[in-house]
Amino acid sequence: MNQTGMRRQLITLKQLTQLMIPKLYTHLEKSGSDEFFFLFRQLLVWFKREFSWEDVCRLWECLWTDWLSGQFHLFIGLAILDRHKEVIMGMDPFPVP
Amino acid sequence: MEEDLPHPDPESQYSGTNAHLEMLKDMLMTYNMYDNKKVGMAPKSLSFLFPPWPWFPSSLCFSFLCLFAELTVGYVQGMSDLLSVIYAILQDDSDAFWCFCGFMDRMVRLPSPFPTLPRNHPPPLSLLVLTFRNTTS
Repeated sequence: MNQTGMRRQLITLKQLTQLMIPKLYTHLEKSGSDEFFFLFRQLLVWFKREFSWEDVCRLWECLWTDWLSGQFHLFIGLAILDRHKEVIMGMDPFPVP
Repeated sequence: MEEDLPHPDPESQYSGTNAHLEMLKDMLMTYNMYDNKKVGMAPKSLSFLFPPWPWFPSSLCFSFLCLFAELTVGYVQGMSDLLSVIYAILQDDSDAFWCFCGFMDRMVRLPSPFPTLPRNHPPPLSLLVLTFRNTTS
């Protein structure tokens, strides 16, 4: 879970987004967020601060089963991005006050 | 670690400290020592790899050192988040500690499902997508 491990995970997620949600990726690239640092915390603590207590317990239990891949939390991150892509793309990256 | 643990909002009813928070801190400290010790012992047994062989390329020495550095974790910001969940469920500090060690091992040294790749290396994108397609279709 050191810096290089985290870096690799972010890169994988970046590639996954590029492939699965190309529209969102273009948007992120345009606004300079294509390094995916905004998902750093989510990946680091396995979405612990994003979901409610019951949901976190359930999610972790599922992730620990290593179903399909030991890196399944990357897909969860991708799914979250996919669910919220409209909201993200609707946002003005540089709002003028 | 000290800054990481308490509730960030001083107004919150969860601010300050309590017995469980202190226990959490103790466990993280113990993990820090435990993990460092494991690594501290490794290079000694492999000391034949390091000089006094003067011809031994220093770049290679460095890569060995990096290998050991990869094995150690110590405290990383966010660990308190991970441990707190386990502790809250198990309600027992020794159980929580060892489960946490297992969890960290899993994170750092997760055996790769693709043996040719280094451990904990996310599989290449093509393989991930293939697995995904096979299960959805």
